[in-house]
Amino acid sequence: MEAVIFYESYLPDALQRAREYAGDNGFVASLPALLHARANAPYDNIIWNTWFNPNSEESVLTTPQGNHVVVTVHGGGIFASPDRFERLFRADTNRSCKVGFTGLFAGKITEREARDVLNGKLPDGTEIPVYSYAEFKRGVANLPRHCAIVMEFEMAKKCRCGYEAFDDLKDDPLMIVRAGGVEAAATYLDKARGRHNTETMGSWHPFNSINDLDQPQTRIPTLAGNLGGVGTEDDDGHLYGYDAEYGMGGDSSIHNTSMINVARYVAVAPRDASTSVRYLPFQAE
Amino acid sequence: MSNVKMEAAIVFESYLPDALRRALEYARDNGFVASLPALLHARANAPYDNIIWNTWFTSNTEESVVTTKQGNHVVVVIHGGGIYGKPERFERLYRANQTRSNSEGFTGQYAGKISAQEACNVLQGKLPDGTEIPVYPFGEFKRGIADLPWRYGVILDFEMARRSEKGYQPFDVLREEPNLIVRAGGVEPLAAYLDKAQARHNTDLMGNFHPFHQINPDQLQTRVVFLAGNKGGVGSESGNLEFGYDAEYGIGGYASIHGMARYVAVAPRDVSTGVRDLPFAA
Repeated sequence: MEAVIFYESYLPDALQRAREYAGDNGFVASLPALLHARANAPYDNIIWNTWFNPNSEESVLTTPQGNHVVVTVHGGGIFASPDRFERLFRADTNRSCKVGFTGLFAGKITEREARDVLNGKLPDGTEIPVYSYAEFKRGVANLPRHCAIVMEFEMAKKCRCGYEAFDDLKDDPLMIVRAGGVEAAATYLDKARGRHNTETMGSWHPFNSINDLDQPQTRIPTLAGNLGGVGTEDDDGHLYGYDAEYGMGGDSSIHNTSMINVARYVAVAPRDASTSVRYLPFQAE
Repeated sequence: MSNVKMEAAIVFESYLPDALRRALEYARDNGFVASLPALLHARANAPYDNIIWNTWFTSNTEESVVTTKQGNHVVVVIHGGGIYGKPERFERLYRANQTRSNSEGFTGQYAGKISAQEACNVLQGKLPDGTEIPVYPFGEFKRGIADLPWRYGVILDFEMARRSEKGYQPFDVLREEPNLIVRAGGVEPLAAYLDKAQARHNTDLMGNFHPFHQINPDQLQTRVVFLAGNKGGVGSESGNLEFGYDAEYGIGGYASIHGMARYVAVAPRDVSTGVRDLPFAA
C-alpha cells in the first residue's frame, strides 16, 4: 500500500485525482487515517508539517424522532465525490437556497441525504455501519475504514472548542470520534504533545455557533499543520492564516472550512513497484 | 533516518508543455527529465512487464537540422534538454503565426522552426537557459566518450543522417546505424538495448524512423524524438497490426513536437519524509 498527496487549488480537482489514485482497492484517507499515520511517523515527515483535508465529514441533522444529532462519516459520505462539491459551489448562494452554503460555510444537504446518511446509505449506493457514540466509545472490534458515528447534538455542542489541555482532549467525545476511538485519540494526542512537549492543542467545532439546527448541513474538519509545528498552543497572531497550526476541526469561517478553497488529500492504494519506473536505472552506474 | 534514493516518475498530460513543466518540477535542480538514452538504458535493465516497456514515451532529446558557418548541413542531437528544453519554448512555437513563410511556427512537417541564433548557439553547446554542454562530432562519439554526461550534444553530418536506414530493419543493421547510435547514447548502449528488444518476442526487426529524406535542410528546425511502445509489445516488426496511437514502431517518427506527452522525470527523494510508506490503517 502506498500513499500519495494530492494538492490542488480547487478542491474537486484534488478529490478527483485522489479518488483516481485510490481506485477500487485503495482509499482516500479519513481523519482517523491521517492521525494514525501521524502517530506512526517521525516529526520531520511531511504528514506532520502541513495541513490536510480528511475524507471525513460532520453533518448536523434531525432524526425522524425530532432529535438533533451530528453524524460523522469517515471514509467518504455525502461529500465524497467531486460532483457533490461542484453542485454546492454552483448553487445559488442566497441563504434561502436549499442546496448552497449556510451562512457559516457549511454545505446544505437535502432531507433525503440527511435521512439516508443516518441509515448509513450513501449517495453512491454504498451502505456503511452506523454506530452510536456510546457504542463507538466502548470500542468496535474490527472497525471498518468506512463507517459513521451518531452523537447527540447537545453533546457535540458541549465538546471542547479552542486550545485545550491534552488530557482533557483525551476524554472529549468529538476528539474520540474524529480520531477513530478512545485509544486512537490517546495515541495521537501523546504523539502530538511529544513533538514540542506542549500542554495544549487546538480542537475546534462550529456547533455552538449554528442558529438553525433544522437546516441539515455538512462540514469537513480540517487537520492543520505547518513546517515544524510552530504555534500549536495558541492563535496569538504570529502565524494566523493559511498555515496556522490550530490543531483540527475549524469553526465557521471561510478560512478554516474545508468545504471550499485549496485542498490537500492523501490517497492510499496498492502499488507494485516492480512494474513501475520508480527504481529503474536511467543512468549507467 | 534519511533514505535518499533516485526515483523516477511518469508524467503524462494531454498538452505537451504541461507534461514537461510537471516533469521539470519533479526533477528540479538535482534530477533530470529522461533523455532517449536514459529511457533506453532503463528499458535495457527492466523486466518486460515493467511499464517502461509497455507504453510510449516522450524523450527529453531533440534533433535539430542546422547549417554550420561553413555551409554544411548537420543534425545536432541534444540529450537532456536543448532548444526545446522548456515548456515556454513549445508554447511560443504553438502560438506562432502558422503561415509557412513565418520564421517561427511549424514547418510543413510539424518540426519546430528555430532561429539562426538558436541554431548557431546549439552547435556550440550553448543552450537558451545559459547552460553550456559538450558537443561531440559523431566520429568521436562513436569511438566512445569516457564519463559521458547526461546532458550533451552530438553532431552528425546531414547526409549521413539522411542515408540512415528508416523503417523496420533487422537488429544487426540497426546496430550500425549512425543516427540510432546517437539516439541510444553510444555503440554499447545501443547494442544492449537492441539485444533486449530483440529478445522480448525473439523478433527479427525493429522500427527506426527519421524524416531527413523528406525535408528542406536549409530550414532550421527541431524535432523531439519519441520512443514507441504498447502493452505487450504487439506488432513491433511492422506497422500493419497496431497502426495509430499506440503503434509499436520503435524509435523516432517523422515529427512529434505537439500533442500529448509522457515524460519520465528522475530525482532524489527521501522516502522517510514522504507519506508513501506511512501506515494509514491500523
